[in-house]
Amino acid sequence: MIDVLIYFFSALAAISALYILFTSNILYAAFALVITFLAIAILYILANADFVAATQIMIYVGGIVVVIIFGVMLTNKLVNSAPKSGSHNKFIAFIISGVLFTLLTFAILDMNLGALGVERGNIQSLGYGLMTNYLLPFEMAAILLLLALIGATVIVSQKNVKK
Amino acid sequence: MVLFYFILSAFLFSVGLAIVITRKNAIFVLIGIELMLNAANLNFVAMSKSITLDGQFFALFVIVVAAAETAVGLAMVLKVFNYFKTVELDKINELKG
Amino acid sequence: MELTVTSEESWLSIIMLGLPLVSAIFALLISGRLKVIVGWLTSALMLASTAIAVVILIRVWTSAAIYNHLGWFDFAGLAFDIGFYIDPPAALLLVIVCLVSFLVHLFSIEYMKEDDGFIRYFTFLGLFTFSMIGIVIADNLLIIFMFWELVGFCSYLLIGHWYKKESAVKASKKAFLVNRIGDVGFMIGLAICWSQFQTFDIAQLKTEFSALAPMSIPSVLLTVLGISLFTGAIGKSAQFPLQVWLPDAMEGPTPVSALIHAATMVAAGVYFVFRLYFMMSPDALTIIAIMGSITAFMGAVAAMTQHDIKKVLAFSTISQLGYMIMALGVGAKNGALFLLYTHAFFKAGLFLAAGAIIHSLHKAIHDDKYDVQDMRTMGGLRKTMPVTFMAYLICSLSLIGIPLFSGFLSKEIILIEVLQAALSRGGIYIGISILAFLSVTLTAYYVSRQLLLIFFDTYRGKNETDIHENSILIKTVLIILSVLSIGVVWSLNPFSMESSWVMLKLGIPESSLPHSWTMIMSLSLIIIGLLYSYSRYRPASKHVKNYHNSSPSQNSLAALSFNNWYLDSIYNEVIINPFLKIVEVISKVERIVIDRLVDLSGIFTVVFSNVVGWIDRAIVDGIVNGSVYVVGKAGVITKSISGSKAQSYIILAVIGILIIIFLVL
Repeated sequence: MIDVLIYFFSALAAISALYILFTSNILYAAFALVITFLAIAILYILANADFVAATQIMIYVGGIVVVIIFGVMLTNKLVNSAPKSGSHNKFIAFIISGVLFTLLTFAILDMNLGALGVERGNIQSLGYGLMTNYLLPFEMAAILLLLALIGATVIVSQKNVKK
Repeated sequence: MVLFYFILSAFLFSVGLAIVITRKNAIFVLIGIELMLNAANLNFVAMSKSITLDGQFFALFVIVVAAAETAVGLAMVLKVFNYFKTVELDKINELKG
Repeated sequence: MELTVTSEESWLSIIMLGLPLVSAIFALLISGRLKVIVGWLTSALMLASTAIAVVILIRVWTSAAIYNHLGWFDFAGLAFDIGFYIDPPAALLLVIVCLVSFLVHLFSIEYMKEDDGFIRYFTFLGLFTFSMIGIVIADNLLIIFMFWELVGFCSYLLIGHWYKKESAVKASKKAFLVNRIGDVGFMIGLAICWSQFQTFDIAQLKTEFSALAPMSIPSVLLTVLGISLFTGAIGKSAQFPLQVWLPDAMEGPTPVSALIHAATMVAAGVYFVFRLYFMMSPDALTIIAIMGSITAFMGAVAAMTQHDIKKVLAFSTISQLGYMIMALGVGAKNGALFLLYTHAFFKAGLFLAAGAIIHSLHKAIHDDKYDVQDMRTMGGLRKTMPVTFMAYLICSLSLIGIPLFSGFLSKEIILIEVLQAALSRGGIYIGISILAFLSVTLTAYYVSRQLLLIFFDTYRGKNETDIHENSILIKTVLIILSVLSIGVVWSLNPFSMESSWVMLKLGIPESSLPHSWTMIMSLSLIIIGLLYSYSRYRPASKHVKNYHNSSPSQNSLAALSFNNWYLDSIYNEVIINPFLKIVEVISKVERIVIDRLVDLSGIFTVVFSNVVGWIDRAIVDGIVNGSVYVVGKAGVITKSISGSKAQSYIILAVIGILIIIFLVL
């Protein structure tokens, strides 16, 4: 049963990712991105990572995609036409991505996965870890977020410097 | 199943890379980067099925960094839009020497 | 008691709980122009809720209690449940809450017709009823506490309904704050309960208590637990040290007073103690009984000299609540609940009748400065408002405890048990029973005094010809409530509480005393009270003629009564003023000492930052500018080498990575 779910949601994630690649409408792409993220979140849950899944939904779907849609709105005139955008370098991109995927797949199949066991992670041990072993990265992440916030504000709020 | 997660992750990463390379719109490029980060995350989470939860911690930190990256990236895109009145990368030739 | 989970009844309970909330939301959503519809719609929803409550009552009465719960959340291995538990007493109280709320809704359509806050008013009424139903059916102390707070919040909103009136705002604030004091006790009780039993579930607590080994928990702790939980009830049910909020709560609209006093707010405290009766240790019960008797007596005394028609009723509520709490304390818990039921109807009837009088006087006298609630300016309303008079009379007789009326039945049980406790246990219980029987006389006195002042003699106010009986709607409500205050409704033989269907279900107390004793005692005490008030306030007596001009402080005793034992002034002097003094001192300290320190540190910071600024400009900026210059130069050099577009760089980079991967593999 779980296997079927994993296949289904993997397929969903892959198809919507491909849709992003081939669509020309940025807004559709953003909504397909939502589907990809949600599918991945469900895959996290199926991999026993409930908290990461919740975080994924909250930050990616609730935050990042919304910000991206804002970006689309602010950089396009949406009055009459859909926000279209073309693509280039198609051939090179196809080759490079294909080669990369093939290489990675070979590498993955080459790995010894027998060493990996299965363990149910719970939120408690995650919280404990964040407050003990990972306290420094945790604090750094907080500072990074603060810096990003300030940085983004500073970048956008400067008056037009075009000479 | 872990194997399957890895292959899906590789696939998503490749698609993200393709998006970054091919699309002309800067926001699409950002979307592609998000996809690649997610692919990496998927690896981490699949890994964390092992004894420790390290993978999940890394996934959490990656999510945080991705949030920061999007904020700054979009700010830059908006700045670029203010400056060039477009976000189509092929029309922005300023980097040309 | 056998517990069953039947889904149909669970759904009924949930719908009954939800309807008042739906009504509140409806009232909120419908726009201002349709306000008459709001009144009728919310009333209809309340009627539906009442009907469901009646169905539940019949089911519960004939078969087992409804008990259903499901897991809410887990925390650190401890499970919290959410659920409800409806046994016969709870079901009957539900019917009463819904019915009284429905009647109050109906009454309010007429009473609040010209009020600006009509919609807001009905919203809060619905919310209020919802939270009260929640308290009654919840099976978990934590859930009860949540609904308990919601009830307190709704009462705050409703007492302060006329928020432009300063006294109303003050009264609502006072009610809220005084209730908070009780809630602190409640929370301490919750904490003790959790630390000892790790559960808030009442059914589970019950089994733990029945299986409790005598010495496993110190009895002092159990007493403290009982008293802290009782403190919550003290606040809500306006018991002795905290009863000051209830008279002030009269600032709210009269139907709200009826709801607060009859069925919702104050009943919550009594019902809460009833429900947690098994948790009360004998010492805690003694304290509860003492508190209750003191409250009953103090309330009755304070009611004797009030001029305001609603204030008399407010103090009488305090006194009756004291009776209930006292009855719980001496062990007559079923009697207490029975008084709660009967009291709900006759007190709602009294308040709504008072509201009807105020309403019609208000319509007759269009003068905002004129106090229409002052009994000194009433009199002789028997002729102009006959229906209201009859309703008031029946409810008053019930309140006094005259045979044939509902109050008699319930008070008999309590008095018998109090007397029995006094005879068998002696000591402090003798004092309690003396206070209880004294209060009977006082109740007869103040109620008959009020009747004589309002309805007999001649009218002492102005615009007599304009006073008319109210509309058919208000009359219907009053008639229903007065019919429910007649003894036959509650017991086939209105002279004996033992044949009452309620008591047959709840369980009749075993008593060795013949009932005729207490009946004769209480009746003779009532007659003394009646005769005394008649001698003072009979129509056309000298006292009544002077009464119009009388000031309250004729003698010290009357002044003590009029000012509610000076409790407000005592609290002002002992708690509020010292607190204000302390606050003043603290603010002085803050101004002189702390502000000084802040100023000094500010000066120091400015000096320091100037120094840092110089370093920053001269050294750090130099480094940064230098590195920027270097990077910029490097960029200029490198960008001229490679291709044109940004994405081309990425392509090149990825190709590089691919080559590396190849090599590694």
